[in-house]
Amino acid sequence: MFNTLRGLFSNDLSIDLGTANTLIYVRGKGIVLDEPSVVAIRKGDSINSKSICAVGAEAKRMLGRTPGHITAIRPLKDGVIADFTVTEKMLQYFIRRVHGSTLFKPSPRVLVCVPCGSTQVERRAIRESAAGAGARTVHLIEEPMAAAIGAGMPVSDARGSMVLDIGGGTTEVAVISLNGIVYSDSVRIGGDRFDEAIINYVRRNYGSLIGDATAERVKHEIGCAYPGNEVREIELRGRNLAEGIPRSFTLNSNEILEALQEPLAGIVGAVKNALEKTPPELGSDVAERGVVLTGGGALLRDLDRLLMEETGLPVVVAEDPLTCVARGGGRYLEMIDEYGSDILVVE
Amino acid sequence: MSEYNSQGEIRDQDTAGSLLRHARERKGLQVKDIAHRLNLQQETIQALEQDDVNKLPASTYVRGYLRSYAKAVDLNPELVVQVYDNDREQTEQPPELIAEVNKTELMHSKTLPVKAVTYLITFIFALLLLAWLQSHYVVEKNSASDTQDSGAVAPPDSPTSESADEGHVVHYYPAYEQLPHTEPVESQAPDAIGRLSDEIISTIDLPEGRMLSSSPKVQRTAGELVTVRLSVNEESWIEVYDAYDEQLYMGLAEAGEVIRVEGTGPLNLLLGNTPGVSIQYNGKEVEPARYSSSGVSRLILGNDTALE
Repeated sequence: MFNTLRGLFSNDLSIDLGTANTLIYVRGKGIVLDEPSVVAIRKGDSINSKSICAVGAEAKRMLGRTPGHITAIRPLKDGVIADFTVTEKMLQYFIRRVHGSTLFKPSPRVLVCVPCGSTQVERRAIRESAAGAGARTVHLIEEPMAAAIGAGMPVSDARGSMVLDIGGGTTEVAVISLNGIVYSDSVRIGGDRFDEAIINYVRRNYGSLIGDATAERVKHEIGCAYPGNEVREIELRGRNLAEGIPRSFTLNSNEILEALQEPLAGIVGAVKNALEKTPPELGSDVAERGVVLTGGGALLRDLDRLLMEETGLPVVVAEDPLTCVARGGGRYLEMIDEYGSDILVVE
Repeated sequence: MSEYNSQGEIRDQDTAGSLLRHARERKGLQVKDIAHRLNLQQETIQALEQDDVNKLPASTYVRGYLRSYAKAVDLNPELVVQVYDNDREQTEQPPELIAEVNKTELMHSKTLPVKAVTYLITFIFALLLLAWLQSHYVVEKNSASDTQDSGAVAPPDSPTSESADEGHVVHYYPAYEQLPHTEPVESQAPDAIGRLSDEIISTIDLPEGRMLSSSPKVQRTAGELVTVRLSVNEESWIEVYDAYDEQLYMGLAEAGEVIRVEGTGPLNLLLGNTPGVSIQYNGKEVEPARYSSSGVSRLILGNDTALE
C-alpha cells in the first residue's frame, strides 16, 4: 500500500547495469545518467568501518591512483555482479541521484538488463541488488533483446534480426523474431578484454607497463579493427620494466590492430557460430538485411568493416550504440504497460 | 566534408539517394560494385538511390546502409544521414544526455544540515527527559509536603502517628496516602494496625521512599484496605501487589512461615506453589480455583471476590 503511494512519486527506470558503464533511462525523460560502474570505498579508522567515497566518473578517475585507505573497484565483472553489497550501494546512489531530492524515498519500478548467458544465481543477485537499492518491482530483460528494441529493429516482425551487442565485459549475439530470442550466445569478451590485450601488447613489445585507464584511452583514440588507409599515432608514457622509470613511446593504429586480433577473433567466431546455429529461414533474413552492432564496442573504428569481410553480411552500426540497451529497456517498460508483462518472458 | 564542398554545395532538392548516386557515378562505379562492397543486393542499392522507402527495411538498417555507402564513395556519412533524416521528417533522434538532472553530492555526517538535525534531535531528547524527570520527582516532593502539612498522614489515634515525621511508618502503609476516599480507611486503619502488631510474624520489609505520587495506571475503583494471611506449609515463591501495582511482598517463603499483608484492594497474588499455601482473605479461607500443573497461580483478591 505504502509502496504504491511512494510509486506515485517515483519514475520508471530502465537500468543498463554494465561492466564498464551504468546507464539509466527514465521514462518520459530519456537517458539521465551515464556513469562508469566504479565505486571508491574509503576505509575508516576501525576495521569494519567503510564508507563510499565516490561513485561514477569521479571514482573512475581514482582507479589505479588510490592511496592505501581508498580502494576504487568495479563491482561488476563479465556483465554480472562480482561484489554484491557494493553494487547495491552503487545502484542506490544512482537511483537517488536520478530522483534528486524528493520528500519521499524513491521507490521506482526498475527494469534491469542481464546478459543472456547469465545463470539463475547471477540473475537473482541482480534482482536482489536492485530491490535492495529501493526498487518497488524489478523486471529483468536480456541485453540483446533490449539492445534490439533500443536500436529500433523490428523485433515483433516475423523476420529474423541479428543483433551483436559488444559491452564492457561480454559480447552478446542474438537472433530475434516475433518478440522472442531464437538463438543467443554470450562470450566473455568485451571492451575490457581489448584494454587487456593492449596492455599485454605494450608490455611484450615495449617492455613497458601501462594502466587500464591509459589502455582505454589508446583504444578510444587510435583503436581500429580493420586496416585502414590512414595510420594514427599516440604518444604514451609507461613504466619501463627493465629500468623501472617512466619512459615515453609512440604507438600507431596498426600495432593496436595487431594487439586486438585475439579478442576480435573471438567476437567474429561468436557471430559465425550464431549464423551456423540459426534456423535457415531466419538466417536468410539476416543475410538479406544484416547484423546490427550495438554497445560501446561498436564504436571501435571499422569493426563493421571487419565483420562485413569476415561474414559476408551487411553490417550496420546502430544509432548511438552506447545507449541502445538502456533505451530499449525504457521502451520495454512502455510495452509492458501497453500489452502486459508477458510479451517478453525473461526468467 | 571539405572534399565534398569542393565538388558542390548541397542543394535543397538533393536527397540522400541522389547524393550517393552522383558520388558513385563520379567515381565511375556500378551499382553491382557497391552491392558487392556492402554485401547487399542490387535491388536494395537501387532502392536506396531512388529513396524508395517501401522496398527498404526499417530505418535503423537504412541509416547503416547509407553510412556504409557514403564511406564507400568517400562522402561524409553523417551528412548523408542528416539529409535522409531531413527528408523523412519523422526522425527518431537519439536522446540527449539530460544535463538538468541535479547532481546530488554524497551526504556526509559532517555536513552542516546533517549536523544541525543531529543536534536538534539530541536537544529535543534532552528536553523530553527533563520534562519526564520534572513530572516524576518534583510532583512527588510536593505531594509529600502537602500530606505532611495537612497532618492527614495517619489516623489520629494510630500508635505510629508520632513517628510519621521520620517517614518510616508512613511508608509502611503506602496505600493510605493514595486512597481516594479517606474516611473508610481511617475507620479501618486503627483496627488493622492493632491486629498487625499481634499477627505479624514475618516482617514485610518494604523499600523506603515509595510515595506513589505518580498517578496509578490501573483505575481500579475499590481502594479498600484488605488483609491477606498466607500460611506457608511448603516452601513457595510469593508475590503480592496492591491496587496501584505496588509490590507489598516478594520473596521465597519457608515452610511454617505465616505472612500477613495489608494493602489497598484488590490485591494481586502470585503463588509459586499453590497447594503448599493456604490463603485467608479478610479472615476467610480462599481456595484458588485453578492452578497450573507446576502449582503456579495468579489470584486477584478484592471486593470480596476471589478471582483467578
